Amino acid sequence: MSPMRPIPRADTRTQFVRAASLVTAALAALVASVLMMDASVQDGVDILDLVRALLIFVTTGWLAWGAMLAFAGILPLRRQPAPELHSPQPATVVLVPICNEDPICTFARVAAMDRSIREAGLNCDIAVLSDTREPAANDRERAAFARLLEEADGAGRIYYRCRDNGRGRKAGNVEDFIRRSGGAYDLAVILDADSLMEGSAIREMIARMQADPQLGLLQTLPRIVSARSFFGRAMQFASAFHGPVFTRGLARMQGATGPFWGHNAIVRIRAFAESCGLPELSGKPPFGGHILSHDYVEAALLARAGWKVQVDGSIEGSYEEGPENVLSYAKRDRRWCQGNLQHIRLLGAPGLAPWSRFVFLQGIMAYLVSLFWAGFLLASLAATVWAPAPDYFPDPHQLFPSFPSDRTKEITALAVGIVGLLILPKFAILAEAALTRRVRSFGSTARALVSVLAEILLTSLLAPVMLMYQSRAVLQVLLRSDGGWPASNRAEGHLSIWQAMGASLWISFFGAATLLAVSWISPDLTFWLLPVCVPMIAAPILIAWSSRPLTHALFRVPEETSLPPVVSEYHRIVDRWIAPRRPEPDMMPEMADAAA
Amino acid sequence: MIEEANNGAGNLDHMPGHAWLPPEAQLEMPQQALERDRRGFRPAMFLNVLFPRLRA
Repeated sequence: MSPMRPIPRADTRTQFVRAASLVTAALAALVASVLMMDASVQDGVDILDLVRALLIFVTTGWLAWGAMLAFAGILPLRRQPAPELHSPQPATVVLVPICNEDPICTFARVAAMDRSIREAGLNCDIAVLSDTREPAANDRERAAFARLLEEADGAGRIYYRCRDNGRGRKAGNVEDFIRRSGGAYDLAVILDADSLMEGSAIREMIARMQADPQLGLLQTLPRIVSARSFFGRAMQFASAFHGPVFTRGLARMQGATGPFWGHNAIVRIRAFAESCGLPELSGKPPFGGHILSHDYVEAALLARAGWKVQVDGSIEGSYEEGPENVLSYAKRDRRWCQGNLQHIRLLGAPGLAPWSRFVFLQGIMAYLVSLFWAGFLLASLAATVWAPAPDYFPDPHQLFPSFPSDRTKEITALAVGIVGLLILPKFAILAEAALTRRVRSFGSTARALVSVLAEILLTSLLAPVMLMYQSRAVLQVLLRSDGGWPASNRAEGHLSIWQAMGASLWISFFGAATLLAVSWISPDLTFWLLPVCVPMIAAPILIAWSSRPLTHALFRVPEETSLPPVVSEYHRIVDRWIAPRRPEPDMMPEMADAAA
Repeated sequence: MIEEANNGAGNLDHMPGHAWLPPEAQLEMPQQALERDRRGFRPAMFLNVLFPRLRA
């Protein structure tokens, strides 16, 4: 395929940030490998030493790359003033693809956004694109839509259609709309069922697209809202506190070959239509069939066709909901794992920008790295078990024994370095937030510090559990097991200990068996394995405990101190719609059901 | 398909001209090439690319 226009070139600054980050990550990986080799060659080099050095190179390089993303975003961007929206406003549609969602919540979000859009002085259509196929669920959607139309006086402005084949899942749903109705619009704001956007944010996005005709897609950073559980609020805090800095780093690193996260973004319909028609991959799932993680691919295809794709985390008023417990998170992660590993097939796709291929590789690595960590731990155990007994008299004529040198220092330095790569970026972000006074909206510096420490503690405790879930997901995909794309149950919240045990007892057994085996075979290693094995053994308790509601001030985010207008409006509408309503004489039975 | 899927929409069907369906304004969306076509691959193809004159 010959691109219609050249692939956008990275400017000098973007190239510098990329090169500096890659070199730094490679250096950190090299130092870790040298330390590892230095500590393990005293009894001679064997194959396990080489495997461990290679695995530590890859895993440390990956951690360092993540840290560089944060450091690249520490300095604030020189904010250009947002362009004004000129008349005539480009014809814009807001797309809300849904599949088996709670209809009351979904249409209440649409009602809140419709109001906010009108208050922002915009003239936008909204189309709810349903892939729900169960007839009773369809009826409930139609009833909720009818109520929305009635309350918002939205006839001719708010649309609803339902597909009967579900081809291509969400990407196919949007594609179907563009094929049938795309010609009526210049721009489309693509949302998820749980997305909420302020009209002012949509206005800014439209103005940005209007001001730059080469911009094919503009991605915002959705903030997580409405979290209630300990786990959910920790994720919400991380997204609000660390997210903007990581996104700024990403924007600096990716330049005009930016990301698409599938929702809370605006696309130029002509660009999307001419370049993002996704084919079905040859072969069967998980590697063939429909492209699951379609958003990365669409971003790469837009860049291939010469369109700019940018991310801007500074656009305020973009929201979504997040998983409320570890199991919902792991379920979503299983889908993403399969979608990202499917990109292995696309690494060599013709005509892509080199950076797009690198982005695919990053997405693949995000999951493979769990397997590499697990492999490193197993190789280290095996190396210790199979280590030859120390030879105190290597020379038969020597008088005094030679003791093997103690390499604890090297191993400790390695461990501290790895932990540092995980923690240092978060403290750097705390310092940035304190210096720029961003910290005020999180309560105070002290409150933010406590929240950062609690979030580090929680993620450290959950890391071995997530490692197990991710490793299982990767192995399942590599063994060609198709996990499908089950709909998220966004209402999943508090889990009982029995539910948590049912989903994680295998992790507890694995952790206990590993610890017992190591303490029997090589007691010296037991202490080093405690931070990994104890959380594994306690997995059911951790999962159930972290799903409990958290009501105090820990993990406070700005959106809780001052509820964004669109979120507040959404809550008001939901409260009204779920309250009992006296059926009106002309109201259809299904409308009454939805109202009740 | 849309019309079929929405048949029997009950409370919405009274709306004139199915005003609850998005407007019809079709747009071409060509399917993109993402896989290299390896069917019928022969080493001679490399020669054709490297030395197009030979082919002539």
